[in-house]
Amino acid sequence: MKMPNWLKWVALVASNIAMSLSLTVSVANVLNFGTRPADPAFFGLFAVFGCAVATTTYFIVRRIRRRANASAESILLRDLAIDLRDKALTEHTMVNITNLDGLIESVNTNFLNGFGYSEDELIGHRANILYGERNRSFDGIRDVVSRGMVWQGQEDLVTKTGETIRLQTTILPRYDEMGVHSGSVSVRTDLTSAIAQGAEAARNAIAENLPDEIFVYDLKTFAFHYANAAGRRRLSVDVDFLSERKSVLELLNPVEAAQFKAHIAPLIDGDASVARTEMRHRKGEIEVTTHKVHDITGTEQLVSVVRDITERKRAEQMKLTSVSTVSHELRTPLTSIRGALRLLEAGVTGELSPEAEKLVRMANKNSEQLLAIVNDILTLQKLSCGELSMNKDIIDLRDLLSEAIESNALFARECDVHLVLRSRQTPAMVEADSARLMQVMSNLISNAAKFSPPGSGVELHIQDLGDKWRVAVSDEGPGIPEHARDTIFNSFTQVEGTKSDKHPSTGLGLTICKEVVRQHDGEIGFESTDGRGSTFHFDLPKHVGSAESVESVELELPRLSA
Amino acid sequence: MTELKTILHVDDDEDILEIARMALTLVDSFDLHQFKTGTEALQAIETIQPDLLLLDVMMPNMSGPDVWKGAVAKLGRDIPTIFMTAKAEDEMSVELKTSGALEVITKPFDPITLGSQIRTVWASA
Repeated sequence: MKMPNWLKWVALVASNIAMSLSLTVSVANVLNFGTRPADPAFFGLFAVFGCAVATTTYFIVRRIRRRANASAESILLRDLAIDLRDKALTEHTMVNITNLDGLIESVNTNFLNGFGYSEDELIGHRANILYGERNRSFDGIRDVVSRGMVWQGQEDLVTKTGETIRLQTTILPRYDEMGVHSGSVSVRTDLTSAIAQGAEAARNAIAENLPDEIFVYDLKTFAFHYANAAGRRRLSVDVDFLSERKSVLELLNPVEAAQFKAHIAPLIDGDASVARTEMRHRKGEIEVTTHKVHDITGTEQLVSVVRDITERKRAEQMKLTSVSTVSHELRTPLTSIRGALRLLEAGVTGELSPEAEKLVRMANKNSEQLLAIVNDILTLQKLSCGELSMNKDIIDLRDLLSEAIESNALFARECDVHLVLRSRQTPAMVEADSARLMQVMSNLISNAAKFSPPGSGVELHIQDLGDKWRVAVSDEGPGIPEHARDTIFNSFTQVEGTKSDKHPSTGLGLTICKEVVRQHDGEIGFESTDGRGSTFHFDLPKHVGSAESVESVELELPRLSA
Repeated sequence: MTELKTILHVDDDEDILEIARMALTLVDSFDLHQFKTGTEALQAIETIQPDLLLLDVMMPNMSGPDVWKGAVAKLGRDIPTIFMTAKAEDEMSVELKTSGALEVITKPFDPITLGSQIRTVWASA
């Protein structure tokens, strides 16, 4: 029979009141016993009192019994929970018990696995073998625990194989049944793998989300081990493809495969550990950098980092296109104009009247001049954009001057000027693009020849300036007038009164010379005296480490070219 | 090498075709077949069976190198090819030469010497 709680308490209180009342009355009756005969009400009250006592006793007993039951139950549950907790602790962590002397008394399986020892190797041994030689914290910890305190913290302990592992540790003092300190209980969690896994996960997340594409594959089979998200997008595959262990070659077309093979050849056949190549993929221009690496097991792998350079290439191409478009657009009509005039002039279409011939020759000469300007503008534009790459070699300036004399001999003869080479006996080595320097030489020689009086000479010298070589071209012309000296290297500058019908100039020659010399870390300049000729020169840094005779005797080798 | 007789010339510029025609048939005396597009040239190439291709590099729709490739496919053999380009010092010129073109002639060319220039290249190939 279930009774609501409140009713029990009401009954209990009521019966207690009744009991107290009846007790009072009974006592009063007993005291008056001699004076008055027994009252029937006394018995009534006594009965009520008895009932109250019985009821109260019943409830009290019942309550005590219930409490006892409940506490027995909870003790049982609590013990179970402790058991579970211990079990979980043992499963999850490394536990060991040491005695007062610091000798290990017992360890759990996790402990053995974590440190790599067998039970025999640990039981009865001092726990400080786990602390390695450099770790001095063992005695400090023992001291804390022996004073009855709990030690908590991170420790770097050493496994049997000598590997250091990072542990989260709690060491509690241990007491026997009599409450006497009898050693310690240590509970440890290995953080090493957690840290490593965390770091690896973080690294993987970075790699996975990089805009650059990353591919990891086998050196021999080219089977994919990994491709990050950007990499998988290029290959148009999802993450599942990695488990298929497909070869890189299967995902490339024959052209791409050939480029890929050429790219990794130095890594496979040679000693190279890194290769970098720009190649064309069907999805755009790419720059591939591949490293040869060893994975944890020592297997050789290739790691390719691929960067999409389509945009960069497009920008470069646009810059180039602007120059080459101008080139193409101007040179194409010039081809027809010059072609037509040349055919007319040569009489291919029949004999021309003397007047017509004069006109054709004039048109022809001017078209030639126009073409020269177009070419010079383009050269200059390419130079200033850095598009005209310099193919620098170690060259001897003596060879450059000899060649310059040969290739300009015809022009000099036309100007009735002789070229004189004042060379050196010993080499004059510089690092330079000889074709570009030849362009400079031709410009300086033709300028000198143009402005030289008939029958005079143009001299070419090489001078030693210490850390530089100077190449100089001297003429016996009228010299550069004072007012023109500051602007002579500027574009489209022609000194007044020097325009020559016979040898027209584009006004860009010296500007090109200056730019070419500048790109050789050199300087260009001139000395001129009114009416007594000019000397144009350029200075280039000597090539360090080139063979050079100790004595640098200058030997004059006059040579007539014409 | 055999004597050079038949030349197939492709250029999208009519004026240049005309200059080249005079240069190669009046100044010189080649059997010259000219086309404004690569497509037309490739349609006729099997009938013409040229000894040499003279191709402009930059042309709309089908570029000179494309015509070259198409010609090799149509004829089923390699064919000596000379390119013409208005772009001086172009990367393309270097690429063409390394991939087997006999020569890359820059425009403007001299019509008086074009024929002998081609013959020299042909002889040295």
